[in-house]
Amino acid sequence: MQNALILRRLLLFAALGLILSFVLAPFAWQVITALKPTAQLAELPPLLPAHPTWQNFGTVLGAPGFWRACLNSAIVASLTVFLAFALGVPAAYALAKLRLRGAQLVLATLLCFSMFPAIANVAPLYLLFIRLGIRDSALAVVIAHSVFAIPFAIWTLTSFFKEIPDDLYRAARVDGCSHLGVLRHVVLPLASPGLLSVALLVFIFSWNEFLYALTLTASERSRTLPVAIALFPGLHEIPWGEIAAASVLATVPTILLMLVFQRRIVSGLTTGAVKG
Amino acid sequence: MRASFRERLGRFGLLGPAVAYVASVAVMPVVFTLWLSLRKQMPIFGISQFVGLQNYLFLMRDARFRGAVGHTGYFVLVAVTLELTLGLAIALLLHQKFPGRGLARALVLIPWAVPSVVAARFWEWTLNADFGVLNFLLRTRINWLGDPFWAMHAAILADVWKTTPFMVLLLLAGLQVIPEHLYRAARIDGANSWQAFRHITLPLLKPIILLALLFRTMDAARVFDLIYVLTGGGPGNQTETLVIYAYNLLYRTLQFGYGSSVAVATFFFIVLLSLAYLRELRRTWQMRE
Amino acid sequence: MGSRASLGPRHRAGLVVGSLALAAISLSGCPRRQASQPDQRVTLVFKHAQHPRYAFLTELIQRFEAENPGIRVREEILPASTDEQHQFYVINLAARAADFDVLDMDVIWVPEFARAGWLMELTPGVTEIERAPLFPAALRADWLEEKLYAVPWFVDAGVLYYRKDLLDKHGFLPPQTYPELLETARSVLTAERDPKLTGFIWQGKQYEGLVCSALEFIRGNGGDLLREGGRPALTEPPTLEALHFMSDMVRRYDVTPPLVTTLNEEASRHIFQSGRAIFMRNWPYAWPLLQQPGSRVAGRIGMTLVPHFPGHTSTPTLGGFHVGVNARSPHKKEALAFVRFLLRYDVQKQILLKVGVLPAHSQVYDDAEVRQKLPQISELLHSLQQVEPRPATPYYMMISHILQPELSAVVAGIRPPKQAMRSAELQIEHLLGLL
Repeated sequence: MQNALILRRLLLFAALGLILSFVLAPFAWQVITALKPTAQLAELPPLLPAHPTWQNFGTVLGAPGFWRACLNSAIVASLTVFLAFALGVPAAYALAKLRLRGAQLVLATLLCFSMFPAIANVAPLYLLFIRLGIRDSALAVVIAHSVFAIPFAIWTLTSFFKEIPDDLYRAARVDGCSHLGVLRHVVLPLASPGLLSVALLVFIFSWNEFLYALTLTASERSRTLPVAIALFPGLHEIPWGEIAAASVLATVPTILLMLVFQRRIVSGLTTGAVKG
Repeated sequence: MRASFRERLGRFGLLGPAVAYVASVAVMPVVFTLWLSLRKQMPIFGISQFVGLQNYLFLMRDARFRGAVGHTGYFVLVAVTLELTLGLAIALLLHQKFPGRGLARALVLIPWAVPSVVAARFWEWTLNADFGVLNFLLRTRINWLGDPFWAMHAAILADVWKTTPFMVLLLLAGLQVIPEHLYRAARIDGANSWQAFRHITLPLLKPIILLALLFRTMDAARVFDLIYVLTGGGPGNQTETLVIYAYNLLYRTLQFGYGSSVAVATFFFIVLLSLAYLRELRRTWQMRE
Repeated sequence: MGSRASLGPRHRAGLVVGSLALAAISLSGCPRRQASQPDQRVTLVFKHAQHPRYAFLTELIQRFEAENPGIRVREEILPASTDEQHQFYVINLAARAADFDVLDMDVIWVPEFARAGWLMELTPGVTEIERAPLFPAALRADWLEEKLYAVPWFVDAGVLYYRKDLLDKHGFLPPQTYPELLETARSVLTAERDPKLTGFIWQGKQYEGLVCSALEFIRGNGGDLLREGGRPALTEPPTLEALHFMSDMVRRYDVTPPLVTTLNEEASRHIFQSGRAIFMRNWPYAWPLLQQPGSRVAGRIGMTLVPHFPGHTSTPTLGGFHVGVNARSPHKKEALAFVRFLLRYDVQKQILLKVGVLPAHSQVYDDAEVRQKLPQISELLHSLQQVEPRPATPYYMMISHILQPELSAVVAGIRPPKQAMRSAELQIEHLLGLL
């Protein structure tokens, strides 16, 4: 009995090791590249640099506009998440819990519009924003991002809200709760793993999005991080060390967010809330 | 009656803002692209005329378009299948209790967190046949990005690496929602892990799986940056996808009309692929009610 | 129960207020284009690509502002990727936006933009005297129907890099023709017996750089892409011969590795810099990088004209960027003044010495200080005098779009040259017929 358990454990850790190496190896290589001196970037062997240098990180952190770009990315991503939830949560709730005719149709139509290839959308959107006078602002980028984020949030949250047993919902309504009350006291707490997952995915999507961010911004004032990184290369020259360093730095915040929130995502339905 | 009206108003209040917002921002570009696809629009030469369905008729005879459809279809099929399989396996693994689980979950997300503008370039760097670290570790000189056969598969590898965490996160959240007591009951009844997986986990996870498949398929069908950076659509156009073709037409050759028709065709391609998932999803939800 | 809700009403309110504030911040300072600032100064917007040492460009701009107190120049930077720049310009210019005044264009876009009417005519603003010292090959792309629409401010030309140490060791001179290069490479490869060493690398990935490399083979054999009158000349014998040679380098002679189909400028530079290639075709930008301390080949390389085939001449492909003025600019006079500033001798000299790109002003290359600081400049001048631009036609982007996959198919061995070029010709003729 004990052996079987130990074996299971070993298998688990072996599988885990395999997966983590697949996932982390390229990233580790990026870190190593960032630590290599410029002249030896393409040298293999050695795998690890004989004299690792922090110069690439230093150049990136000291680059004009880098910190501003980080701030802009943070603002844009947060606003996108906020907008996606502010509009998406009530809509998902309505679609999941209320018997609405044509609900599926609404859902499908919303999805359709966000399915259109971005490269075709970017020009008309850009021209629209010029006419509205918001070109080169974080707001334009938020609007563009949320057009994708909202349907995704609605679809995914609808699915999670549907998991919540109808009895709970009906019980709360019978008790006299308004829709907002039901949302606040029943639905949101129970669906918090899904909520946090969606929030995290939307945040990362917005943080990393490039095409709209590039087209809709023009100056340091509103430039986001991916666009700032795309500005590192010169006419022919591509400073690999700096790009690797920048990418490592750009990844860290989202990992920290995940570390902080993953505990919340873990907890599922509390025992006792559902009987049968 | 009054309650019903308030009810209905409440529902509009819940759904309305989202629909209005998406409608006002997303509809215009789509309609504009549809309109362009019915025209011959080449600003360089001052050509701007309505041509009806001529662009679409030409599309059907366009060998390069057919190639793009084939490449995109293959990419979607292989990449999404791999991502689902791998994602499910990883999610099941991370659902178990073991020390360091929290850290593992955060680390697994790293590929998704790396900005795509960098990830593509980084894979181009890694997959280089001469100085790329992959060939160094494998002690070979496979021409990953320059060989007609390997190029598409190298792109799939990069995409699987990048987007599997998305699947993992969604599936993990879905696994959390499955009540523990179901598994306990099953074990009392004498079921083993595989049976528990087949009869409890999979059915309850189905909506999330379908959803994850839906979104990943949509994204994979629209793949652009990754392949564009890795191969430029080459060699010899063997990896040109629909969106790359549309991009080239729109922004390289400034054929706005024809390029828009390729974009619209891509859209219909995606809709077709998604319909299967959507129908299954609707069935699953209806069964639950 | 309520404490576990992630969006309580108080939190919600705070979020709303906070985000409105943030939105207000990001909205503020939105650039509305005005005819002139309150302090009566005109602000020009100069849209240009990123350069590694752009701080020096900013210095030059400040000098312009000092000399022209009524004008301020605001730089807006685009990513170095020419695709992204082209996309940006196309969206803006096609929409007749007046968001920028002076623009920085790749040489291959100028005929296209000029034909579309997006550029302001620069003659007679830029005088004959100012134009005379500029490289004539570069200027050729700027004329449309007797009118000038842009001027080059820096140029680029393909060059051949070689490993001087290896050639010296085996008693070879730098090759002048492709057959000579082939012979030299094969001999050195056989003698060195290094499995990691390759003979000749160039840019073979499916992108514009491939057309640049291929053109040097084709024109070096007397062929070309288009004939007089604009009809494609792709299936003519000199062109096909050159393409056969390109393909044979990979498949028959083993002098060029198959991975050439993945190489762009930087990838080939890295291979050469690690000492794993004898010859490399690239642009002059690589020279200082190859010579930097820490490079395996520092002090062991040379640079010369790209080779040609016997009986013909070396024809490097022209690159570089041109400046033009947006036809919708509200500040045409000031923009023109800025363009003429960029063409001045002293400014062009600083562009070479500080920013590090090759200037379009040919007399700078004879400057004593320049020759002293950059001894290889005479070699580069040689290339620039023989350089040929890609076809200066508004159709060029379309032709390149058709040609790139076919050339890539030849290099990758997917299709033989005749079939690939026949297919390209058919597509080009179809396109020209449609227009």
